[in-house]
Amino acid sequence: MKLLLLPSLVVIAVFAAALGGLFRYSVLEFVPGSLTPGGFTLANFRAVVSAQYLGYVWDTVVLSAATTVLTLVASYPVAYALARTPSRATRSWLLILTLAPFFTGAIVRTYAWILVLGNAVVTWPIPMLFTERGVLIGLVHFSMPTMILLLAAAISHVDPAYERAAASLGARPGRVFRRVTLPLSLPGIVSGSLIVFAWTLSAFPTPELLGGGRVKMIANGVKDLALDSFNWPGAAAFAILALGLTLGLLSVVGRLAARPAPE
Amino acid sequence: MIGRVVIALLVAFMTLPTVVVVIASFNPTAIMSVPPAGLSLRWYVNALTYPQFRRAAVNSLVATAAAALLALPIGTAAALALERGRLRARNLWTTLLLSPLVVPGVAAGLGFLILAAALGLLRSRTVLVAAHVALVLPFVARSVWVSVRNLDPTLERAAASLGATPWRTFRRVTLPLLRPGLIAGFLFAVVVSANEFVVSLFIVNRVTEVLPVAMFTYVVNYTDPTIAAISSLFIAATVTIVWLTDRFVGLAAVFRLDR
Amino acid sequence: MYTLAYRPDLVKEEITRWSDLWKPSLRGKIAMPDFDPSHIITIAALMEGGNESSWQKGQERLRQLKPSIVAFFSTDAQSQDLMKTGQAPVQVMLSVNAYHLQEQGVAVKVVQPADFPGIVGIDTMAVMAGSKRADAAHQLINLVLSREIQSQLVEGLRAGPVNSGAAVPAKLRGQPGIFLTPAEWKERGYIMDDEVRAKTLPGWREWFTANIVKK
Repeated sequence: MKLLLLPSLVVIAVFAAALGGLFRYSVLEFVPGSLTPGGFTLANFRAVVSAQYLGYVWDTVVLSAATTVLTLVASYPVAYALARTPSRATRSWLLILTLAPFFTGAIVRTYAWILVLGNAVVTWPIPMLFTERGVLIGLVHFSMPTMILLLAAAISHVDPAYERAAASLGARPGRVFRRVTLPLSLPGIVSGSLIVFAWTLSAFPTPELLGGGRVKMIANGVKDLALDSFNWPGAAAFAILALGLTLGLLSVVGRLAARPAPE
Repeated sequence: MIGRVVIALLVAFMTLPTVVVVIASFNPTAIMSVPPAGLSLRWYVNALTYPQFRRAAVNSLVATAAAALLALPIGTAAALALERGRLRARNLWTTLLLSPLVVPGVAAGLGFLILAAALGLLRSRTVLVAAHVALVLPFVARSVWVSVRNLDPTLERAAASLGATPWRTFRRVTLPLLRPGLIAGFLFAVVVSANEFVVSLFIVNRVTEVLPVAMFTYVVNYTDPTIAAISSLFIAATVTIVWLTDRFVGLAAVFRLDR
Repeated sequence: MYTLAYRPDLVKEEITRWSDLWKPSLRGKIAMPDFDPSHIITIAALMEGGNESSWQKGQERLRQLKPSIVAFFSTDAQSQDLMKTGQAPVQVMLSVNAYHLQEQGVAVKVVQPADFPGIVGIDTMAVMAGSKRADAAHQLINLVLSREIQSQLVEGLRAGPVNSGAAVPAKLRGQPGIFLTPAEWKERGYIMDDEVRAKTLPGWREWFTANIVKK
């Protein structure tokens, strides 16, 4: 039985080797004009905690937080409908419409926003493309399918009997939602939010194409360093910082999700 | 009532960009205008005949097929082992298996680039396929695991007691019962790999370029609606796949929404 | 060749020199690349009597230019969009890209600056160290440098040839970015030292992003 894990182990080992290379380069010296790194140094990590790069981190955290909040607010109603609708047809259609953008890939979706935000459809009164609000919209749009699915799964686990009981005791729908549904779906809200937040921290295509060079998140910084400045050691250090941030956040999810959910 | 309106608006927000892209793809001129001044298929012709897109499409097909076909048995084996293997370090294994999901794309991409350089494999597709398998495996394992968890062992025991060998039991009893998970897993693998962009961006070159990277390069260099055309084709393909899956397997079941 | 390109229908004055960029009348109308600031950095340095090696001399000049810049583009597509929509009607761009815009029907004027030359952008071909097909690579390079191919490149891309025997159509002679003789290379174009560029580009990008791009 345990042998069945062997192939997976090989795959994991390959992935670990890739990350190993990353760690190795992060402590090697960057030689400008060359791809061959020098000797051991901590200069890359020192550079990464400088004002400029911490600026990237701050901008990314703020943008990710805003994205998460807006995504949550926009996704909950759709998730609720998805989980609670009695009609199988409606559920099917909602699922297809939610999933379809998810499955068309980052480039297609981001390009679509280039068109919408770029005065091709409407002429916006304020610039939308290549601004932070444009990137925010793109990120929210990108995260909604994930949030909707996670929330819907959580909501569908809330026994409608509780809601019916509250209603039968005289509570109006708004109150039922606030006092029964919302609290019981809280674990889903929390884990969904943290997952969207963690994934948005690593967002790349959206800020790359919608940011116009002015709105840069951590991932764009890593790519610039690696593929434009050819500074693999610096890029590796920055990438490890991003990895650390994501892992830190997700360990919080793990601890919160480990709490038994009300069944 | 307000609820319905709100939901309709939200769904409209989610689908608006898709609609705009499809409309833009029929624009007769390079400078976009919506509504378009006419209808033209020239960008579709351009997209389908652009040599780099053709090459990239083939590359994507090969890489995705390889990744999905490799990940399916590996992931199924892992799911079975995790559920039934009575492993002591089960949580550790689960974490390891799911770990590619939490690593930022740029970190994995740069790591694989460095690995490829170290192994002298910068021009081969090996590292690309390996990366895709690693990225897709968590999805496959998870999907199959859901089915494995719902598997009733008494059915397999019954087959064994009737004289079936373990392999025959697996083939005739276990596998068919795992079908929803396997199909969902394969679907995930295909969709995730076909759309994988960030990691691939780091490790491909012009010859091994996959379609999303080729599209990115195009968007970055040209402003005509060719990308709208190829996006529309992409959208049509994925919507069809999703719709078909819903018809035959029931997406609600896949996402455990039918309680 | 990196030079100035602008839309005469949107910018009512003539632009003839690099120093025109600093004119108050062009405030908020300029765009330039952010992925490669080497050109504007070099020009600013030349204006202060330095060059790409002593580029720090031009830093203050560049800071003075900041309010005039309305956008930076990371990609050619963005640059084209900014020119087409008129959001940034004056740009530091590659002459080849400007000619491409002209072909698309956008009225763009390409400048041969009078005060300092344009910065020459040279497409390079490299044979990998340790390559097992170096002979084939050399054959390709010979082909690309041949008179026939060079003539086609000139005609199709409106880029300057490196083979002085290439045929250059009369209407293209003397156009910005198209040089016919080694003398023209020196007079009308500025070629950066490639080693300095390779070594300093990361530093340039960092300084430029922190001081000029960031709001």
